[in-house]
Amino acid sequence: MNKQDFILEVQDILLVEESLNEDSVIIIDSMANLLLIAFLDDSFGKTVDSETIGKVNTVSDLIEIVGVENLN
Amino acid sequence: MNCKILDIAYYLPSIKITSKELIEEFEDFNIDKIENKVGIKSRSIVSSEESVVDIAYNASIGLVDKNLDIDFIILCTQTSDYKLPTSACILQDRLGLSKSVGALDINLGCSGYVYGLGVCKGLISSGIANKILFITADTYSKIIYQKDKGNRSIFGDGATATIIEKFPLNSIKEFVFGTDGSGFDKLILKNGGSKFPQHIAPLEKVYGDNNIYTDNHLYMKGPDIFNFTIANIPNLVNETLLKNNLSLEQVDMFVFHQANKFMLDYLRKKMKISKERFFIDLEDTGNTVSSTIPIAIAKLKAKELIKKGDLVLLAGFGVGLSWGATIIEI
Repeated sequence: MNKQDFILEVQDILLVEESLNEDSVIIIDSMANLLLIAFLDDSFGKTVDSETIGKVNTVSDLIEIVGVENLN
Repeated sequence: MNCKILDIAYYLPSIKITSKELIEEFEDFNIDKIENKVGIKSRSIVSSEESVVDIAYNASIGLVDKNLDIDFIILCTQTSDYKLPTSACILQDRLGLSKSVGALDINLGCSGYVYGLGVCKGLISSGIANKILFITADTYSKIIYQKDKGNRSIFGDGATATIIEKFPLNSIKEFVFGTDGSGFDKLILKNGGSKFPQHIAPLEKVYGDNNIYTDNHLYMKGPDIFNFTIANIPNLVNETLLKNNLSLEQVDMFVFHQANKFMLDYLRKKMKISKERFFIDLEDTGNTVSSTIPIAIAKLKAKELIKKGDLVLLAGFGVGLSWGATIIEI
């Protein structure tokens, strides 16, 4: 998955209308937290706990969890 | 000696709480999330006068009338009428069963039905019992804080009764169990046991999407439970298939603990199980803890979605953390 597809996926999970970019501030409610855990498990094989997701403020924080090297 | 499930019945209390009613109480209640993603439209709850023994009785009495030779009662609950005595003992008397029956409670939640089946199989195969009344019953509505919209939207009360009896063929097959007590605080009612007394005026705490609870009430760290589930349950299913010398394709129906539609759907996709062979239905019940699996089996039978001879994989998982799976032949 490339970075743009990753951002589009996050946009979809968070049900935001506007286009997101790496600097976009995102709000993650409990359902989005679950959806992101599932997305990271399914697409990247990453087990991420809710605290880690809870500390995410921007899209780039999520990219950092995945590892930019995994988005080519 | 082997055993089989002879019959299953269930009881849901008459008070129904719809999502629309929850909106009236909680302005920020997300009905789309609860109805479409979590998959719950209404849940049954007991009245203030109704207890676990009452709903266990209601679930069981019809089966007891047809099975007067029951020689053992097992009740799986975490919301027993009293700290002591054992609720199964009270049920022996309420149900009018012989004083020669054995009776015990099992304290487990969402994995409880599978564990209970394992205990029943052990008692029957060792010749200790011949016909067991195995009941699951919980009234989580009584331990959830009124302002906890998350848990109030997810959990429902209910009870089930299963008759398991001696049988020449092995209808309840091999089991796999697992436990991770390091996650004990992911789903917990902290106060009121022997470690922490109930507080008279407990502090309100906030979690998740502005859910409020106190340590006198149930607390669930949903995302961590979800993570535990996706990390462990696919392996549990694979080990259970292996232990029973079966492939995924040979199982006619998969019945997992009905916790959350989204989570179940995710597990189904991860394990590549077709929709037709994977039961999801908690729309009108909510998560009824150890009762979700037997309710699902009863619904599948009623809808004729499973038939005699079908192999059904049962998997329970949750509070403990605890998990277990087995395969039953209908």
